[in-house]
Amino acid sequence: MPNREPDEILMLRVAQGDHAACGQLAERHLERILAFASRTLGNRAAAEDVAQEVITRVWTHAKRWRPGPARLTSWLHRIALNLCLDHLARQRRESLHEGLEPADPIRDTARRVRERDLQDRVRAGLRSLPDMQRAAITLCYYQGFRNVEAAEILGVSVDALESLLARARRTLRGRWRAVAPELLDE
Amino acid sequence: MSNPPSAGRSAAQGAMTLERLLALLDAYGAGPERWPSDEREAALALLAESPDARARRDVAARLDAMLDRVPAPPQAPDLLRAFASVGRGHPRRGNTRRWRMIAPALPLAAATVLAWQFSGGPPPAPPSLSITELGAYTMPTDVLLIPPGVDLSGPAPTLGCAESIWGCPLPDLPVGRQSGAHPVRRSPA
Repeated sequence: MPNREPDEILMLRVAQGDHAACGQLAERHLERILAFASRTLGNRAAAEDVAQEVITRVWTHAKRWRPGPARLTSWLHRIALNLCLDHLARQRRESLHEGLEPADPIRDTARRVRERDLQDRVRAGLRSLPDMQRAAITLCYYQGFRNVEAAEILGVSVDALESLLARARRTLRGRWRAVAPELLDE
Repeated sequence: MSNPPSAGRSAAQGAMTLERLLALLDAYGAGPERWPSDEREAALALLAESPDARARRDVAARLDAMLDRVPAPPQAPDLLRAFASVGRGHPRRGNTRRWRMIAPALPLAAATVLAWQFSGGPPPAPPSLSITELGAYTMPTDVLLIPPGVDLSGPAPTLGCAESIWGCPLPDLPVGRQSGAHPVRRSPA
């Protein structure tokens, strides 16, 4: 069956218990959700869990969804963001309970510069960002959301979104210049 | 360095200013495709006229080049096949850690939802299930799961186990609770 029905129609079908419609929604949105979760969490296995949980919640909560000004993909990313934030918070609690000190991102990044390639430097910088800044960068720069959509997913105003983005980029520039100045020389 | 208030979107109501253009570059980067669509044309016009703006654009472009070095995460064909197979009535893949993690926490009545996906048969009429019993709302941030336009004034679903073939006990839950902000008593496993 051609997968051309709008998301809203597929959601109505899912709400009526249509497995095939849920499969079509997964086919349409899963990879993008997985990419978002991967970049936000920096952990592939956890990202797959998040993506799977997002689709599961589509199935179980479809009857509660109503078409509105926000696209379905925005709603899906909002769910994914909440799951990612919960995962990150849980990780921090568990690491504290285990008596582990949080890693010093500056020291670790400086140590890795000698041994790893440029992609690891970039990933490390992104991982070191506060959760909301990382999510803002991921939504706007990598996932391609417009500012209004990204702000809605994050639950902030557009002004606040721009502040998150600017701070994130400033932080990244500072970290990367400290370890790889040749790449950011003006 | 923080963006002064005048560089915010309120300044964008009028003509594009250098301050606003620099704020766009600082937030969204050098690529105009990421700038707000309603400001893009004016920003590009000013960019063509301002050496300062072009210098800032070049700085932003170097940072963008760093961000671009991280490739897109690999696809997950197994995961997609697992969900696609739901539509054809086949069971999910075996190594579903997520199912192992959440299944023990779900009351048996809620597990009938999961059983549909393994049965391959026509789905039964959707049961009335308490959202909290599904384990969906366990964190304060779950309140954000409520999508725009949802009818919150409608009757809250309740958990109905009385006729369940699983024989689960009726939980003692307040009606209408949809948030993890309040403690939820779960029925014993």
